[in-house]
Amino acid sequence: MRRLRALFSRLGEVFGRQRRERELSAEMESHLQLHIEDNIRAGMSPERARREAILKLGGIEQTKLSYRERRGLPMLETLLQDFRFATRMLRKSPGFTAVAVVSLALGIGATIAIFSVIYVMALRPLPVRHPDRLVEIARGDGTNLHYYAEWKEFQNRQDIFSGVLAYNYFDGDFEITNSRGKEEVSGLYVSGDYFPTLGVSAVLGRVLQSSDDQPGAPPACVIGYRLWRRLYGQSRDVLGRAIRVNGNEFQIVGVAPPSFFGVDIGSMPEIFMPLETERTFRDYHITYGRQSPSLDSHATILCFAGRLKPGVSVSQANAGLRVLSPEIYRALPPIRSESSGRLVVHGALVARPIPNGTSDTWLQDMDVVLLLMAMAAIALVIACANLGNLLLARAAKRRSEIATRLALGATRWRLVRQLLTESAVLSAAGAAMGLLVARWATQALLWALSYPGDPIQLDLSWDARLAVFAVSITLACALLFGLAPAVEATHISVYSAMNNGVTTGKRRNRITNSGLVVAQVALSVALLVSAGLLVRTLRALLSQDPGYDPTGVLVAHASWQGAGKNPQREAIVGKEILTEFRSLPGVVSASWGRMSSKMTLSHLVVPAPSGVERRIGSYLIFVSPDSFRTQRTPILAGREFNHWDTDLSLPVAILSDDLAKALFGGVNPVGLRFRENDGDENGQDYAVEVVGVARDVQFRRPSDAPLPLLFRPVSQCGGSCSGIGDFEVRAAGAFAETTKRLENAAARVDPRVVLKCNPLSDMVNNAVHRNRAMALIATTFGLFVGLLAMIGVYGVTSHASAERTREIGIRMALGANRGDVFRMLLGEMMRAVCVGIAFGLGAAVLAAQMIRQTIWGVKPTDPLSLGFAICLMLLIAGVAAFLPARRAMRVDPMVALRYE
Amino acid sequence: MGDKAGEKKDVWQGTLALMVLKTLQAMGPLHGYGIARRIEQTSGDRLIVNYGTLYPALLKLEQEGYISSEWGFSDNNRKAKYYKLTRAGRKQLNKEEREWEQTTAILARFLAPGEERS
Repeated sequence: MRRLRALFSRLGEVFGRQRRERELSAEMESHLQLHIEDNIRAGMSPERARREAILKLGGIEQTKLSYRERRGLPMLETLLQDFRFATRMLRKSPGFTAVAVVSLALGIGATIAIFSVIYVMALRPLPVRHPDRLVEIARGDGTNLHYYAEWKEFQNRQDIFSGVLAYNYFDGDFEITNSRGKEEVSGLYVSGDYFPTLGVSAVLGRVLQSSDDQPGAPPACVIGYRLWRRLYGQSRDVLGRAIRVNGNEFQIVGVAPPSFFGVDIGSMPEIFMPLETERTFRDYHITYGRQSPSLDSHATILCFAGRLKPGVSVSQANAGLRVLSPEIYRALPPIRSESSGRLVVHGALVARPIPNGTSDTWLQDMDVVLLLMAMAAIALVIACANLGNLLLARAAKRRSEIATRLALGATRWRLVRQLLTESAVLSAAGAAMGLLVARWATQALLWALSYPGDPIQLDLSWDARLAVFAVSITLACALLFGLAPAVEATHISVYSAMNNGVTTGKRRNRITNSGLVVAQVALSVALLVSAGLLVRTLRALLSQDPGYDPTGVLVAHASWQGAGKNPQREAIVGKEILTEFRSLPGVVSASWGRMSSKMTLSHLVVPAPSGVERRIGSYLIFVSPDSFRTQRTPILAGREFNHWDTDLSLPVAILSDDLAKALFGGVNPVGLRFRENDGDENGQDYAVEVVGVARDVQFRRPSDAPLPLLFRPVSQCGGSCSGIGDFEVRAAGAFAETTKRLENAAARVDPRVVLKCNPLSDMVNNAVHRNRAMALIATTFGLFVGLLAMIGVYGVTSHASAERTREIGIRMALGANRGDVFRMLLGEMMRAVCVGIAFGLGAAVLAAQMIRQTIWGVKPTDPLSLGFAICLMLLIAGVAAFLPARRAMRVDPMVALRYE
Repeated sequence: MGDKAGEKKDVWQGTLALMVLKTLQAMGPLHGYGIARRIEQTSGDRLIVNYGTLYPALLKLEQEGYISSEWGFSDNNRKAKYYKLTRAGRKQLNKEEREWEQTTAILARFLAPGEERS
């Protein structure tokens, strides 16, 4: 206790040292005076009394010193002293400090940003009970996608796991309405045992349970913590209140914990509803890319997960699944493959541990993110090496200061500690700025990895592990760039340093320095080449003709507002809306399209010219007349649909070029017939006549293979469509204005219809989003590393010229002119740069190999990208070496030599 | 350290604190010089107090809360820093006195027969 008290007391005395110092002096002084007075009383002369007293007191300074050591905490005080000294030194050279802090901030920021994304996506344990006992249950082919009937069989038959759960993979946007208005949130349909199996309990109320997930159960839901805070201000009386989800009323029974986001990394559902309610309230949201099919189809929309029983290993569970799986599939009706039409043979279900959650995004982009992580780490190491070099150059200048301090009795360790404190201050400042960079960079990275309109949502709140990472990386940086220069700087001979002030550069230094230049030039070139390739890819993709002309075309998705759903009227309403649209001023042409509700590939059975039957899968789209005209997709043969194609006339079809070739080979198919089978075992075949062939269109990435598309007249869709569908309108005038007019027109037809309008060009842009993001990231990174290389070349050249002042002086005294010196320094540097470029080109080939799936329409050895990278690098290095070389050139030989 | 007979001795490490506390108990508030003089006098001038040790020792006692200090005036009106015993210091003094007595008693037993023999 006493020790602790003394420690705190000493800690307090670290501050206010000046006052304490004065007090000690006063105490010493009073001591002396008291002693002198005593001595005088004892009969000494004042002179002698004073002398005796001073002798007796001994060295006042020694006394003060031992007093000071007892007072305060010397370690801490030297640290503070070093800190003050360091900030003073850094303030004195703002240029160096700025370069150091900015390059560290970028390096540390990028590293932290990328690491935090990796951590959150793949390393952080799920915030559920014992996440290490959680497994996902995938099909034999490895995908964790199942259909509803499969779930029911699995749930009822399994006794391998202590609990199993299913949730709808298509977590979608839901429009929720309460007294405050409406909002779009993402939500999830979950089975009744979802929360109990995960071991997550509600922070308020209760979680969903099996009784909520029964036919006829009153619709109940659990809301997420954020939604609770945002919409209800964390009010406790939210329980039992009704919330409208897509117009259907649910009763709120509980609030999920703040950290809970389900099992899928990258989504943040805020409302959880029982699976059974999806059957009741299902609402299609069909766009070109995404849709949520129904529970009753064979559409694979559910993900399974389970919790291992205590003591059961994953392999034991898998053994159990191998026995159980055939039972499950025997109980289910057989399914035909969507593409081949053959009966599907199901392999055994497979359990895989998911302690960190599941992530599609992660699997897709792992290579990209890891590549980025590696690049960021290398960039950070290079930034540190550069700083180390700049510090060495500074240490060379501070040699006489350090020598003086050594001569005055400072220990080496003390000096190393002081120089390291300077590095730590730099590193900490860099890290502080780096956190801001990281915040921004994380958002940029998530934007880049997300599909447009479907952002990756992550809980990026910091935890202890991330903080430890950030602190250790900062300290590692400080050591990395600070230790070598600090040790180097203090290993000097006091005598020679104080006498000469200048020494010759060591050969070892020069070699490591040019190695540093070569390494970073190589990395910059590799990155710049990759960036060039990605930019060229983007340009190639954008210049690609997608098979339609998106400019001036608007896509309007129509759906029923909330409970206004009225499937019987969809066909009529759609037709009326189209008529309204066509009559609007400014509208050049308009068309209407609907998708098959089955969303399976339909199977065409074709009597080929040879007479052999073929089954080929395709995507079925129902379109109105003028569809191709509106999109400006050329009809290669035959005709477009017209008003004579009705439900009473002969079934007709237009094939995409790709599909036509697959079905009929090179033969012009117009006038030929094929049989369509909708894929169901007992579905009916019927003959369809081909009336046209359309050019292939590309709604996905322009580099993907074209989809086999089968177009049928919307008038002939019968009952196989659901939802009102989408309208394409080519119109003159601004997008916002047209949107307004279309919305009004749709409301005139039926006020319960809501339109969602997007420019068709968004689709093209969204399709190349990933490419654009990658190009942007690579370019930014390339320029950053180029900047580092610039700092590096500058540092090395100025270090070299500072160390070789005497050599240069001698050369010039012996007759070398300024140009010779300049050329010598620049030439030496540029040789290293050229070696770096050569290595960089080699590395670029490897990098191009790594990203070959992202490169399209441009050769990995694209001369433009290579040339650009080389020229930019030479320019950067030239500028960076020019300034110090010119300074060296101006060395006056007389001054340089007399300095000795 | 040379330890010739008759030469003045430095105060032993560890005993200085006890002497300071005892002095303050006996004399009441006292300044550093006074404490040093008093210890030297009490020892019959056989001990000398090293001021380089005294002041850090006073500081340590103060940090530990056994003594407190304030500025005051000496008999001839000279400003000086006066130290006085705190309650904790008084308790500590009792404890250390007891311990010291025990230690010396034990040591005395060890030393007594040897003295007889010689």
